[in-house]
Amino acid sequence: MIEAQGLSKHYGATVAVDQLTFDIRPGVVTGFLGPNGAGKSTTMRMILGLDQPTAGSVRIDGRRYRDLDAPVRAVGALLDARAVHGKRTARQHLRWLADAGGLPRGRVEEVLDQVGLAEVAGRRVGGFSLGMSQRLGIAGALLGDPAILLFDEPMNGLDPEGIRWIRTLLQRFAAEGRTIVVSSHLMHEMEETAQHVLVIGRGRLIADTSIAEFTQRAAGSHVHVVSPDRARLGALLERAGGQVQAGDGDDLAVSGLAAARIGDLAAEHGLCVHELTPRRASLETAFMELTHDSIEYRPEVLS
Amino acid sequence: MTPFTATVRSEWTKLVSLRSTKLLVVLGVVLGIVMTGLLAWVAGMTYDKWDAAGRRDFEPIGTALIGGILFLVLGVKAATAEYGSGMIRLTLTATPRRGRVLAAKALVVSAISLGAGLVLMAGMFLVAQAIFASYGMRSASLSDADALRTVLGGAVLSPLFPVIALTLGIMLRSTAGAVIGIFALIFAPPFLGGLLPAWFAENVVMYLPGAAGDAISVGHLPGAGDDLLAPGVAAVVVVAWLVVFLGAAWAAFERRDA
Repeated sequence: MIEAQGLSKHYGATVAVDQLTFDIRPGVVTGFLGPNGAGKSTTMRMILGLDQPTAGSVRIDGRRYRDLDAPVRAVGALLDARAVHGKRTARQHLRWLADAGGLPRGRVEEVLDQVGLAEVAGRRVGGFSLGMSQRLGIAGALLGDPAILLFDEPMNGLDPEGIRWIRTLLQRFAAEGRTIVVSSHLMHEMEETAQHVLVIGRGRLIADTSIAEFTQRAAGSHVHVVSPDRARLGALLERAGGQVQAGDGDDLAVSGLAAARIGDLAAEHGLCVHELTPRRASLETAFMELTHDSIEYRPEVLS
Repeated sequence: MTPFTATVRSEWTKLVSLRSTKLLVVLGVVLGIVMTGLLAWVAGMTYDKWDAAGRRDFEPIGTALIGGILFLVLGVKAATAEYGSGMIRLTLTATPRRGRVLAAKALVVSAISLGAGLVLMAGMFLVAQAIFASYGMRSASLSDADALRTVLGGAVLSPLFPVIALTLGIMLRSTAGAVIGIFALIFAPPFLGGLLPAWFAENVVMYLPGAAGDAISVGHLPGAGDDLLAPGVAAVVVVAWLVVFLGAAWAAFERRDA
């Protein structure tokens, strides 16, 4: 359980994180979403006691991070997978980390196996691809078998197989009752990974909700209807309370009415329908809409 | 295992897993002994041209000994390598108590430079004396109390500048900055001392870490100069410098965002 209360971080006049209040609960994967520069990494560093909040506080199981008895066993973190000394081998890197946590060296071999790096354990990490570095970072986070995992952009640089691997891993850990936080600036990465999302933009909390609710809230959901009697059907649906927009050819975009109701109405009036498809706004669209006003740098449109 | 032991072990594992550490230690010892050998050899080659006064004042114990300059780099790198790569965040995530991390780093840097310093001092001394003896010059042996004090004193003082270098690395977070800082601290007083008013040389220089260290290791030898502190006072001054630098580094380390 991670609890933030009015968590804020200012750099001079710039407000990087603005009064975030949230609880991150165990047992589900929580996606921490926001455009680049929204304050995700700063928030994660404050959770880990690396950066001092300007105001507010964040607690892990009721305690400040630096007051934890055994931080490596309590929290596993992956911040920047490239932030390692390139001259150490994967095994050497994990060994100093295991030593710092007072963990047996045997754990190093176990996590190397777990992330699939056992065969390259003796190679220097400076020569690792970004995907291999991510796996090494994840191995480091898993060393202490912690109940809380905090991953900053873990899918960066992973190939599709790697992304599927980490999804499965995260969901299994969540099912074991652990607290899992995964940040991303890409909504589609979260669609099949997270059950809950915290969305921030310009340091402010925009949404703290389940994935399902998040998409439902999104504007742009409609029913796609194709009918040779487009004009009559459109008028009929408008009378029934729908908003109708005519597209190219024979199709209509209807919002405010469920697909079943549209089909029933058409049948009652003997109108022919060739196609009837509910279209949900993609998460990507929902995310873009929500964070639209909070993207720090937007390219000017050339006129 | 106490939390501090774990942190010390971790910092030890970090340093000894790098080839550059072993290289610095071996090169530091070998180059120091080779340089000393060359200096002693030059003295021996020219000895027959020395005048009577030169031969009379020749003091073999402290002659041709040089310091372990490369061990400084060890201290600097123990701090700045982690800032350069960003790995410091991982270190502080694993061990959020920053004072503990600093103390462990200082301990490990001290242990390595103490061990290497002992080998270096003994090696330099023995090589220099053997060369002096082979040219028929006066020479000393380790059974001499004066010689033993120089060798052991020099060894015990070996961690002084590497630890100060470590604290500069923590404070400046830059390899270049810390290297320049530690070299300025060591070499500026002897070189710039002559340019400053005499008052400075008479009242300040003796309290700087370098001169205070010399007072302990070579202050008892003839020709060491009478502007050095008494060894007991010098020991207090050396410890005070370490406390000041470690305290300043700790304050900066604790206060700043990683």
